[in-house]
Amino acid sequence: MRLFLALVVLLLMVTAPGLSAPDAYPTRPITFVVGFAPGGGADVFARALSEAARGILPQPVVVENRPGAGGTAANAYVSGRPADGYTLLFAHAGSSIITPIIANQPTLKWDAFDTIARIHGEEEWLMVKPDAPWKTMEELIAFAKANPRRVRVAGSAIGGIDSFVVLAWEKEAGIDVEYIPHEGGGPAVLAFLGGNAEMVVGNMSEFFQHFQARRMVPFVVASERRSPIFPQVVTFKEKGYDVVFAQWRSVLAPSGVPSSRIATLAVAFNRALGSEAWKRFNANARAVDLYLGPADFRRFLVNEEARLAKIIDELGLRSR
Amino acid sequence: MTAGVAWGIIGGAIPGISGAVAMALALPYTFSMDAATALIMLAGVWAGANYGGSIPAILMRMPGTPGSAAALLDGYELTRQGKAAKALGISLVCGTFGGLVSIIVLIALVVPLGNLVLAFGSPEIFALAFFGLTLIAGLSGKSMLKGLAAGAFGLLLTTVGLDTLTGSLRLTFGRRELLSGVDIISAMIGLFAVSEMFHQLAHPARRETPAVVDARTAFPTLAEFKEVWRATIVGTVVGLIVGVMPGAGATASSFVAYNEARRWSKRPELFGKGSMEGVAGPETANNAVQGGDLVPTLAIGIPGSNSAAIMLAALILHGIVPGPFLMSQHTELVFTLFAGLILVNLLMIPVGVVILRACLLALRLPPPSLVASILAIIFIGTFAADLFVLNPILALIFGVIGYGMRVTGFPPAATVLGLVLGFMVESELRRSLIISHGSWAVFVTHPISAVFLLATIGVLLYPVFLNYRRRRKTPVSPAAAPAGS
Amino acid sequence: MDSAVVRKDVIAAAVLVAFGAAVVAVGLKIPLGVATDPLGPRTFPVALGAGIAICGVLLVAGMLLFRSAPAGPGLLGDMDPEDEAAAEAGPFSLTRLVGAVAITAGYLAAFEPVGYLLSTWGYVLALMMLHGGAPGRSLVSTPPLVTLVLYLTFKYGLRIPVPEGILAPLLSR
Repeated sequence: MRLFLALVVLLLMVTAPGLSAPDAYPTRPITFVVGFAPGGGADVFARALSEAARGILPQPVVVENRPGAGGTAANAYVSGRPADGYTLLFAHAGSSIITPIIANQPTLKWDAFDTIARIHGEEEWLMVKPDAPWKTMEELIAFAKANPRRVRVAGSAIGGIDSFVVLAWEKEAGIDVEYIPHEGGGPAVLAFLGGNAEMVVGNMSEFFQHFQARRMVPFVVASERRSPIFPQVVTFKEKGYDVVFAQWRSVLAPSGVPSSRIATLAVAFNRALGSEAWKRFNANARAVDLYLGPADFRRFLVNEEARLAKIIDELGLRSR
Repeated sequence: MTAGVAWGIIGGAIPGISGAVAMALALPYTFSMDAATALIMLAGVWAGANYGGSIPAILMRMPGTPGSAAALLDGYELTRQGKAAKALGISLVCGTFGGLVSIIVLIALVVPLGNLVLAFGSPEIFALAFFGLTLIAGLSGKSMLKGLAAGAFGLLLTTVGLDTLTGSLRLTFGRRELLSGVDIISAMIGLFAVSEMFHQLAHPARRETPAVVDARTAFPTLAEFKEVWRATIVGTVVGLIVGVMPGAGATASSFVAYNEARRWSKRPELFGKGSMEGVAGPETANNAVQGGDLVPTLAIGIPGSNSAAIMLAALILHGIVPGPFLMSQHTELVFTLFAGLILVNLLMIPVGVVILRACLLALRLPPPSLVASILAIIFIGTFAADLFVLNPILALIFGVIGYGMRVTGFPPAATVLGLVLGFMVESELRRSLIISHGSWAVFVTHPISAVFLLATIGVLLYPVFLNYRRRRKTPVSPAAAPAGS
Repeated sequence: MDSAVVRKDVIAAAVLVAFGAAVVAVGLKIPLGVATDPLGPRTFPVALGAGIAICGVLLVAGMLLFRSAPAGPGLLGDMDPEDEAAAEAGPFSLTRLVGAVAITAGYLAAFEPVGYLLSTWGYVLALMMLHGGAPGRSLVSTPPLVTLVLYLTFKYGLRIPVPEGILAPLLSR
């Protein structure tokens, strides 16, 4: 009997630390999966965020590229990973909302994942050549109406936010332009610079150096308010066109991660935004911090999806 | 630096790990370095991988990177003839030559070339890719029809997945693994290497180990060099041109170089049977794209290939913003990079020789172990890239298809060519039509594109023309009409 | 003309026609999406499928019309089934081929559930036995050696998460 009691006590002593110890997370490197090729906007963002989180999280965050299918190949991969907080997924509107809806793949949409945080965002700009014949929106609209499909706009793949800016603008303004999809922002810029398009749509992080080289000038921005980068450039909204889109970037995780780990990650990323490295990156990229924690981000996504889904239906994009 | 080159060669040699993947794996290690060192090390990985991929390609008919696929056409034949060491030696030396020349050209001409990049829009890229497809004629052997069918199959495979131009799903049959298409590396390895292994397993009495494998004779003699210098020059030129074009990289250039090397060779009939030039041409080309790829990267800030994109990522992570002002704002960095690029290409020779000898030893394994090991490497290699079991399964499926193709006389190389060029051909064609508002004349009104298309027509008609002239001279007997060609 | 070759070609041609027709059928149903280009997403797949089928038809037509041996040497040595069979090979064994494919399929099926270490061990062993000619000594030593080398290289050298399968409790401390 005494032996039995002794064993019970021993057992309790051995397991007690495990029962009351805080969740020791993370104890090994965390993988941040990006559904786009190295060097692109998404990839660079992910790497910058990982760098900024170094020293804040006790383990490094390592970026892994899995490009394909407009970013959804990464979604597919991460959805199969264990929900232990060691695999994260890069997400933006294109890869987590639009493309899954268009491709009719609900298991790859944002709501099949856990939301960690929305991090930052960039505005969507339309650029033209410095010697473009249109100086105002009115002139451009008039020209486009008189010459349907004459104006060519280069941008990234259909299903990305870039394409939506243009498609929504066409609908709102009642014009018909030629949208030329490319595999990414880089090729789109090349097409524009090479004279194969009159306009290009995308983020200022891709455009600013070319603006400085006087090869392009901003024409209109798709934001709620005018941008502090170019305050003299109009917004679609003030011209009466409800074209408001932002390229926000965020972090998701497989569904089912313990909430304490989600909190750890969210807090860490929030703190990372205050780091010098991140501030420098944001300044160079001309991006704005748009941090939202897990719950707020989820609410944002619900609204964002509703908004985008409406446009998808209006444009007739759903895959049958 | 040396570590970078060594890792590049080894990584490239592992099937399933391409140059870009090897660089991405090395990228975290560069964070603690300063920008110049980081770039130089990544460049070393890049150069090494371009060579490393040819090691298994030549020795075991298994391309380590997509850019080495063309090398196996003749390289493996050379191995079967016991000349593996020479083939590897040529690959190394010619590759280094191509890399060096392309870097020198880069240094000298980066600014004017930068403007040239802008001249290569969708019509031009399509015309070049279409020109590349004429290689199918050369790969078809006896039956042009079979070659065309095999090539069409390869082209067809590239349409699987999400279409970036319209957002529609094609040929995925509801399987989400196919959303991003058929993995080219797995398909290539299946068509060439897995089928070869199945072949050996199905023919038990074959002794596949080459008769004599002497690592000491690795280096080509001067005389052998003279044999291949023509192909090397051709390869360098092709690599430079194709490298400068955004989107076209080592793989396309190696195939085009193979074709061109054969066209300009004094002994074209040897190609496919173990021609040294057939190794020199593609291997020079796939290293020579390095300089070309860096042109748009450094001059405009837009990467010319996945590998160049990683270099860009490294720049950005070190706080340097790439773009048209990179060269003027960071001149010392760029010049250090240039010097480093030359160094890493030179380093390839000593490092390469060491690794080469190690790999040649592997060939001495007895066949049962060798075959089993190769297959094991193939499957973990293809798994490693994406961590989906799908890729190894693709390798298996294409292994079966490849075997069937071999048995019935269809050239797997034509399918691989279709796989490599298909995406470019289709998407640039469609994009060109959008740019031209639906007018097909765009390919003629753009001068560079017109030149390539004329070359294509010329290449296709030339043998017909020759045939006609031959027939005019000698009367033809009725029974000689060839079948199926 | 060698009847074995004729038979192979006829089968090949039939496969081409069937495959090509299937592709055309599926291709015509591809959704159009946001069709911004005149060709659209359907053109290529349908055209290629049709092309493949036509090649099959022409192959058969060519055989019927010409009835003579294929002309000229093949460009790539390994594409001549006749030469191949004549040269160095042993007799072709269908069972071995099927065996190789089946063993590999089994390996891939077991890859994730059973885990890398055990399934690769079994795979290498099975292949060596299928190939034949391996002394017992190497049947015992080579599979675990190869498995271990690959495992260590990929897991630790390249930091790739190799599936652990049923050994998971042992492997993740």
